Amino acid sequence: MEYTQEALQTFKEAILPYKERADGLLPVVHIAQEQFRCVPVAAQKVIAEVMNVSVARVSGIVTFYDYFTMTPLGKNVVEVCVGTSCYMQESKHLLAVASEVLQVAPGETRADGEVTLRIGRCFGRCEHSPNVEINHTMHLHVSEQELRQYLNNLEDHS
Amino acid sequence: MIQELNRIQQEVLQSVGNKFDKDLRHDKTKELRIKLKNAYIIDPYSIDEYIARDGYKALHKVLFSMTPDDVIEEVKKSGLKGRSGGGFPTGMKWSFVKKSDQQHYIIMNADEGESAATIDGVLMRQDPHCAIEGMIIAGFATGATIGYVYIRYEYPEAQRAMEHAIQQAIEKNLLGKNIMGSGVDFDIIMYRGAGAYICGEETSIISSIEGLRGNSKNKPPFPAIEGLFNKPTIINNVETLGIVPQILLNGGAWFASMGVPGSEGTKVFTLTGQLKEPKTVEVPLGTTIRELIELGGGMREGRKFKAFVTGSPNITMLGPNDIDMPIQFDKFKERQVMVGSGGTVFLDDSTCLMHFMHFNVDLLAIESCGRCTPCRAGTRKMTQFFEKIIQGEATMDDLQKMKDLAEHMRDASLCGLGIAMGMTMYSALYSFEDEFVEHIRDRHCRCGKCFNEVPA
Repeated sequence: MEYTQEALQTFKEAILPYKERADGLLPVVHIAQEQFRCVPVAAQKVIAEVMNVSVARVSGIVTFYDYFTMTPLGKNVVEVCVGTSCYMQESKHLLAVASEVLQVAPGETRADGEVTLRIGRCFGRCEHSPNVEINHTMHLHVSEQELRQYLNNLEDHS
Repeated sequence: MIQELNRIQQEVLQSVGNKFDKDLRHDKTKELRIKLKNAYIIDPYSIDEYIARDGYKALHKVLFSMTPDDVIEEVKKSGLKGRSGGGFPTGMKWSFVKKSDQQHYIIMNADEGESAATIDGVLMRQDPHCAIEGMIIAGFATGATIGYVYIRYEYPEAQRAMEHAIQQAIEKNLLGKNIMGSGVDFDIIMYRGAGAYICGEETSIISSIEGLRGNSKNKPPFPAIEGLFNKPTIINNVETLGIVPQILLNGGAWFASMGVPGSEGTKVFTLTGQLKEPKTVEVPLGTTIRELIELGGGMREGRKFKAFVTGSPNITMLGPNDIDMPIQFDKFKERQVMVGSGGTVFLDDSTCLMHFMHFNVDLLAIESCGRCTPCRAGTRKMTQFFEKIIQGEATMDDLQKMKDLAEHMRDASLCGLGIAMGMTMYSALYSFEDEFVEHIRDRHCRCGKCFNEVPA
């Protein structure tokens, strides 16, 4: 994917306030992820230049953390938790259902860029397991039927 | 300033009606709500309601009538131990920091990565000020003027509540420069993680804030001597810091009067797994596993209790013979079981332990930071052993290798993620060796789940 000079310039201005901060690298990568829905190499180069570190170091951070991606997230993000508590409530089945309905493998973004299916690692609502997060809205105690309904609504609106 | 706090308190108490009289305990004989005294009762977005519940009075007392050493002594007297798994005495940790002219830091570990634990999230969402007040007190005691809240990515709601609470505290001069006119400064920086289980480990948090991959570091030097940016740093979790104001306000002896000697105070547990009613409860330490099961409504219909698992994916467990064991640091340590961060999973007799352990060990292999070989390779190898067991291809020789590998990981890993494997295997074999042997030697799975498929 190509990024315009303008978009990269906007990004550069957004991260300039962090330039002198010794703790600034992670927040800056967060800003990239939010602006581009991923942290492309082009953005990594801007970060390296502004923060005065190597591109390799930025790349190391991007690849280490689960929530940073190198390819853009889909328009919709569905996250099925398979943390221990949810796993005990058969949430791997929910993940399989979501994968089948959305036609995308767990952890992947569908080719048309409409939806990303993430493998969740605990939202901290374990007493209400199993839990699913759809576009930052948390759904607790989700049954298979409810999940199918949420996902079908998603498809209808996209 | 204390007059101002008292005035706000009176004003709120007069207007609030009977809202504060709610008793949210599920079972009045078993539960004790100390840490959760405000949760689901006050409006987390109202600093006035927190003040009405004696909020920030401990901070006032500390700033105007105590020395840092007094504070540390009081916390030592309370017997408070770190509530995030390690169980290290908090007062002692604070006393390791040597007074100096360097910048000191406090880090609040709000990266509740244990998947089955919810307590830090509940506190930050429902009672954010208690953690903030605890942080400022910890800062005063250890000479730190900057505090980081390292919060995990999955907790946006908790982050909003905390950010709002910090803003309110600054407006009331309870945080920032010259707090309450005492000449003490303290600033809090919210710092968001990005999804890594290992970043709940203290040296990994430091790496993360320093703008590195979240790799753990060698200890010593301990963070209290050389931590964030090589400066003295104290790292405590939310639950630990959240109870500090009440300990200072009511005295260490008050806190020590709850629980049992050596395991003072209360602990919040999230009861999950195959219980009728999973929930979050706060109980005095010394409560038995049987009582926790009763609080969780009992095991599911027609099913028998099989295992009590603490932590996850760094699991340790107790079996059916231990159902009357009280939850105490010393008793658990004897059996190499962690009291843990409060996440618990109850298994009934329909769950195959091999599948459950495979799931957790596999998760560890995914989440290992990869810096040290014993953990990076060991977790992967351990996963393969469990796969072999489930497929019916393991031999008794493999079981011995698993024991050896676990011990090796315990002795040689850099941080808790790998070290805990020794405890995981020890506690599992202590209670469930027969189930391992049944699987391996007899090709028999009492739950009928193994030998026919590759585990997902």
